[in-house]
Amino acid sequence: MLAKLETTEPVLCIDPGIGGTGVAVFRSITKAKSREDAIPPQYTEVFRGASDSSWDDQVYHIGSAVAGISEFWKVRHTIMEFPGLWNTGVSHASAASGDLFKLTFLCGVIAQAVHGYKPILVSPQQWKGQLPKDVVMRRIGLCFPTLELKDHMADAVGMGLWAQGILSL
Amino acid sequence: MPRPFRPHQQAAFAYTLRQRHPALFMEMRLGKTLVAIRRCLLYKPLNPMLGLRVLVVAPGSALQSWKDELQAEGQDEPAALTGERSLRLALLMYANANWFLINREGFLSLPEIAIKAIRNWDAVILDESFIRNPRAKVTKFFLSNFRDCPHRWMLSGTPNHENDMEFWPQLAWLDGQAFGYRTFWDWRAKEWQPDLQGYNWYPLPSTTKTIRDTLAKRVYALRRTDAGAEPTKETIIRILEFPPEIRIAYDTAEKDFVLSNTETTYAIVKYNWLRQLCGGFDATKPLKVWDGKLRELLDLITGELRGIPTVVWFHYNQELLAALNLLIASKIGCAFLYGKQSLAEREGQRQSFQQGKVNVLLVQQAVAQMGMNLDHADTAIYYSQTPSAIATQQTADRMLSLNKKTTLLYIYLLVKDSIDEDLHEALKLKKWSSNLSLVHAIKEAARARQA
Repeated sequence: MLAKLETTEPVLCIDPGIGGTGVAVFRSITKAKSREDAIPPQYTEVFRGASDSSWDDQVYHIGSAVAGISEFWKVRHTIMEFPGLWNTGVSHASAASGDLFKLTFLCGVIAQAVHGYKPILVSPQQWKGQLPKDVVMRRIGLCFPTLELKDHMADAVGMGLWAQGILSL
Repeated sequence: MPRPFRPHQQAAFAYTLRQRHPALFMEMRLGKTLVAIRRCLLYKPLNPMLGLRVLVVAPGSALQSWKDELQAEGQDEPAALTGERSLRLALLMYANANWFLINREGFLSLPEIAIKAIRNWDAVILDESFIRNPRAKVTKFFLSNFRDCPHRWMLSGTPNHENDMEFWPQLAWLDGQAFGYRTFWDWRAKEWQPDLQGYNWYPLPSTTKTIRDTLAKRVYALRRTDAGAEPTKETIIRILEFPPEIRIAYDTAEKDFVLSNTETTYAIVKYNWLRQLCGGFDATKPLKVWDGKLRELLDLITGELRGIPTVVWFHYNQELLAALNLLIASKIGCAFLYGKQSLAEREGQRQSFQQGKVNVLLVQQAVAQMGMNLDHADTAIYYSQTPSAIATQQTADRMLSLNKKTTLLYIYLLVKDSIDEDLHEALKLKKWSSNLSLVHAIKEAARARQA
């Protein structure tokens, strides 16, 4: 479905995380032929709840922030990374501690926040394969040399590049 | 003049006389095929008018060894169920042969082998235990068919590649059940426990004992060491270095997933690029960009190994073809085996090496890793290794022979600080921990190297 996503309406890319949810809004998505043609994000941000609040409060804070920008930018399409359980120590430790369930809950809250349309869920493997974060950031830097990337934001912008077909040339 | 049995073959033969459905878990080159053939020849055919009908299911590369063994035993030409489906089916239905050979994937195009009305087999032999995974189609096919065949055989050198769970389907093939359970899933649920993540399963202490006791009673198992047939092996590692420009390209590919302006997001693609670079090829073009390994190979063959029968193993065809061109240009006679040849062509090439007409045999690993006899060679050079511990072991054992007393020499051509070294280390690790994912092992080795 996403391979065919070309739209002149704003698209919101989200990398959900309770410690920080990266978002990037693109005014449209078209398949770019080269990195020079890449459509830059209009808006990027990292949403976090107050660190002294409970995890569920943080989730609802992030959800309402996403609802706000979705409304403000008149977003009509959302691409969201959906978490998976990988056969690695870190992933299993995260699942065992309950973090994966919290993250899944956050995804649900965000999906509800962008009400009125169904978000497009993509797995990390689908959009970035096995690229490490630093490589994703370098590729974003090739497209948008002046874009300042905060932690957690790179994946949201990276998803936008992937949707434009230029994360990997 | 019949070939005499060796003492361990006599013991194996005595075991097969006692068992209706025998399992010979004997390491490679210990002569289990001969035992199986001679025992089957003693079976009373279901239809004496037609004579004995035996189906042998084996990896494609092992079929020729079966033909050779049958010929050596004075048997008529077996019917090889290979090639086009129509031909296979015609052979299956009408060939007047005692022995029928089919490769292990053959059941997909020729499921009729299991139809009793077409062929009522006196015995079905599965060679190189390929029914280890209970989920695999091939396992389901063989476990659900041939149930009233009078004699079901299992031959294997390494029956448990990954873990002891793999014994269940193999014993179930013989007996319809194994370890007291009629289904694998019952057995796993009751006799094994998952780890905390639920991905790996470990046997309960009593399970390990049950497996050992059952195998001790049910199968005939033998290692080369126990048979006194383990030859001395020597390993030499030749470390080569990339020229500076290829080193830079390699490091960039490894770090940034980019090679010659081509990008990828997938680790597996990157690993393939890196491995091909080590062999001297840029996989994105494709183009030969470096000839360090080829020159080293030529130096070895024309120098220290001059006149010594040598098998050179390759993972990629382009490497094999480049080496072939180089040897031809250097006027060195050689034979070669790779996937684009027909089975007959491959056999012709193998024979010319085995008969000593040429001293060098270039082999693409996938075509000869199972069952093929290359015991004319005493030396193997690994131009590139395959990322599979079992395939590596299988290729190494192609040179073994019960009559051989010489030391076997294995030479590995590795590029310094590269995936070649990582893969070599990972394959050594996998020998010790068969459950270790090779990809993880490579990643760990690469991380350690980069650190």
